Amino acid sequence: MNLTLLKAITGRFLMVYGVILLVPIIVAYYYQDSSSTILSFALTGLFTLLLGFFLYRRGRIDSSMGVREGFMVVAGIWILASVIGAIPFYASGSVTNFFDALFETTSGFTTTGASVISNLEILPQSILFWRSLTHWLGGLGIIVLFIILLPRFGMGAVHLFHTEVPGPMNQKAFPKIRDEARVLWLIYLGLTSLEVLFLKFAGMSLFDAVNHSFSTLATGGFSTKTASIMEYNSLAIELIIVFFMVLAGVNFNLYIQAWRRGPSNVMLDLEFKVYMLLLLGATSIIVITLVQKSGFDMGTALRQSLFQVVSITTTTGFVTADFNQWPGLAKAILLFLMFIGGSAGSTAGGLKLIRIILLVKVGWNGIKQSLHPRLVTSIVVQEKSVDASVLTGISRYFFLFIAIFVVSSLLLAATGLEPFDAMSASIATLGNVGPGFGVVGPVANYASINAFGKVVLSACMLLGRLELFALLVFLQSEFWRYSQRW
Amino acid sequence: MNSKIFRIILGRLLIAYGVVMLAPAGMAFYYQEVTASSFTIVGLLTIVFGLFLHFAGGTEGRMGVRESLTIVATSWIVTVILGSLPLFISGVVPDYMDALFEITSGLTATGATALTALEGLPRSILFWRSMTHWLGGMGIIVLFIVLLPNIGIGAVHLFKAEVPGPTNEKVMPRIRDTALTLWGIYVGLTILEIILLMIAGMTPFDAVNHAFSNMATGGFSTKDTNIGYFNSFTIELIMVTFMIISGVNFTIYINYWRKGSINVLRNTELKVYLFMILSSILVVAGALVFQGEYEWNLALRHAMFEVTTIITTTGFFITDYDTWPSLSKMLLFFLMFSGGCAASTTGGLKVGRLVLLVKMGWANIKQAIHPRLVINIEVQDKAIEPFILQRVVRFFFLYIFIFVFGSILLAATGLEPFEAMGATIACLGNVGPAFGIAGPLSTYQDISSFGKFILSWLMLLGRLELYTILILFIPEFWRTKRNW
Repeated sequence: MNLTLLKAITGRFLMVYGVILLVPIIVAYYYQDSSSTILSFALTGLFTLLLGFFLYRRGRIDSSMGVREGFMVVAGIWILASVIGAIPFYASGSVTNFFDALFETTSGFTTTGASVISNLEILPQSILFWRSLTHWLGGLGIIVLFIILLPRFGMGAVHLFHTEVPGPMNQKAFPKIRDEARVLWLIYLGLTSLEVLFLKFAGMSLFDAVNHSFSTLATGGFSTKTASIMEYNSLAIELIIVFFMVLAGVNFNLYIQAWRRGPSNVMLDLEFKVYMLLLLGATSIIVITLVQKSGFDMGTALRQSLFQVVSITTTTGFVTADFNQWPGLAKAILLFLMFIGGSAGSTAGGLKLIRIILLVKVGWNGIKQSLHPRLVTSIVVQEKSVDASVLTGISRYFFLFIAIFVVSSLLLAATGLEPFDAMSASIATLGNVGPGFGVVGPVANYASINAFGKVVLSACMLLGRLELFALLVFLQSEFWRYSQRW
Repeated sequence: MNSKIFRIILGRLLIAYGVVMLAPAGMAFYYQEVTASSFTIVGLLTIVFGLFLHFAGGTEGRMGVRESLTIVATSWIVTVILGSLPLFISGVVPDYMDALFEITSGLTATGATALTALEGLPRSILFWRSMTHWLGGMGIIVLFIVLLPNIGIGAVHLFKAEVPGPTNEKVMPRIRDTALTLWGIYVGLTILEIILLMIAGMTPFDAVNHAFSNMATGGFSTKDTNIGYFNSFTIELIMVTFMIISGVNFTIYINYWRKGSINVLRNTELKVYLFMILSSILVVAGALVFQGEYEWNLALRHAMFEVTTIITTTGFFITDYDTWPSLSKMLLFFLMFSGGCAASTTGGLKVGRLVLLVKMGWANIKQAIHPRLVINIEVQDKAIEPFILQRVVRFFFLYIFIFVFGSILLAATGLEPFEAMGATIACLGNVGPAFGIAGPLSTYQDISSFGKFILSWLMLLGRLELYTILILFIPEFWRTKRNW
């Protein structure tokens, strides 16, 4: 275990993070937030900066990063960011309980969007800004992680057939990585800026526009309004957000490809096609049931259904309707959409569409094979054959995901939640969606959950976001046993 | 496709089925019930139909995959249709969909009922219900231990059971032998339970019906309040014991019969099965005490019964668990997915598969740290071949997928999400009662006909471990007349 390397990387990260923590001070100053708020950001930021500097000096980037270092770095950074980022919430008095602050920050960085705050409008503007900023940074981190870093270790869903052969990380790889990261960063920034413009044009204040754009592109779900997007009651705003949610749920690799070779590639991508079909199909079914069972008129049904389906599938979590009141069929579909999630290589959570697609193909193959026991078929996607080991990995991931969901639901039921509420809270956090049903429904929040439940849910958020392994690995005893590198 | 073999086997099955149907017919005549003529007519018709098929068929030719699967799928569907006719024709169950639902639930040993006021129904009907359970349970055992292992359908091949599959003359005597042994064990245990239940105070009629239902892990009762009616700890204890017994891998019983010894401690699936039952009872009872204001005695008694009945997918109940604290209900819900051991009369995913899935998941986590590591999954010191592992995960995914699809369809009929999911898994897993509108005391009567239709298919899917029915959806299956 190369500790010096870890110190250096973590140190660097903390220094950058410390500076980032100082940014909300600008907002605080502009909106004249209380001095305690300004102070909480300033002190936390400076402390982090110093800590980072201290660590960095003790470490050295000397050699290549192995798998083990990779895991520690990823998980460590996420946890550190959440813990440190919770301090401003607590210190400024916005959140009275540190567990709550931790929940909120974790929800921010994992781009979940589940909130324990019941009244957003009384919060200082800098705190609201900080919430959305955690989303935005988390989303960027996710993209970098899953498109650039993890595929080299053969993990995450993107490498399944989108990117090239994974390989070990070393000095030589860095320049190329830096290039890729830069392009992604530009696309992310570009789309965010575009949305800010559109939203401003549609009538939002600049502050709200920035916050919501941060939240949309990260498919997070935090809003500056307690009632979420329902507050604005504006079709234009809803359509803009829907548009950008859909974009945020697409594999960012496709954007890179589109940039280099033109947009036709995007249309051909199987995952993209299924993604669009899923959104359309689910919306249609819910429209029908809303009209038939709830007596909605077609227009309202379309408007609400489209927004909610997109919001949930992309695991954003914005709300324009109390879908907790919707007919059983609509709720069931929304629940299952939470499991599916968006495309791999996007900021969306869930199982990821490509895994579902491959699993369906595997299942279909299985049915055919029962008729021809000796038949050997391979799974082919877009004319490329998918490796058997990849399929095995996906199937097992699917099982682990469900297993964690089951355990989490049971633990939450133990805290007193009704079965359906417990299940929805579990998947809403594991899938990084945000709102669930019932007690944690769209017009409610997670405040009523007890401390134990919040810890469980925070763990779910982290697990889901880091695609299980980065964290589950820590459970392995072997992980801690060896002190030398492998 | 060898139609001759298909016809003769189906024919023989129908003859036997028709003869069996004459038992409730006799009972109906004895008690002078309105169903007398219906059972007689349908029974005789079935026999005639069977005879006809028998003489139109022959034993020459191959029996391959296609034949086996066609026979299995067809016999189940035909027996369901024929078996539900007496209920409908006699007027006791005026809605044919209800009758179909009931008999599907019977033959698949599910135990979900759409009938109310059971105590007022003709005894022949009640007896026929339990009989379908018993026959279905027997059929399943024979099916998965004797007929299908080689094809790799069903979970039996997971632990390399020694029993052979079909294909040619030399093997036939062994099949017959195994089948007879199985039936012997099954009948023996049933008789034992009948005696014990009568000693415990049940009338002979009730004892027979409940023993039939119990051994098949079905769940039908002769009373509306199910086993709660008897309010007898002794009866509950007897039933729990036989439920656990029925949930064990029957090949263990065969091996014991043939070799005289079983090393229970070595069998991983069995250990996990028993462990799951024990720990679940503790958790459920604990929740009842701490969150449901039960006292420990009653909590343990209820938990013991309910947990066992759900894991073994039997579906008896002694209390309305729908009113239980959330954790207890939640655990029961998830246990419905588990089922008992492979090659038993239970439904669900089967403990054996769960064991392998967990091991595989754990191996995956390890492999995340060592990407080049090759891990062999081992059970009881024997490595499990990759193709078996592959099948297990595939099955798991298909099962969940069908569950999702079924839940959505049920929700479309107007059920709330949790009710829809509960009903779906209760039928797919062949458990029986679910929650809410399909709860233990509500029965399935308020579910729409379309819903009952979907649930009936789910029951069949689950019982036949998915593929047998799913194959019917492949165009290839219907297409050619060539031999495979």
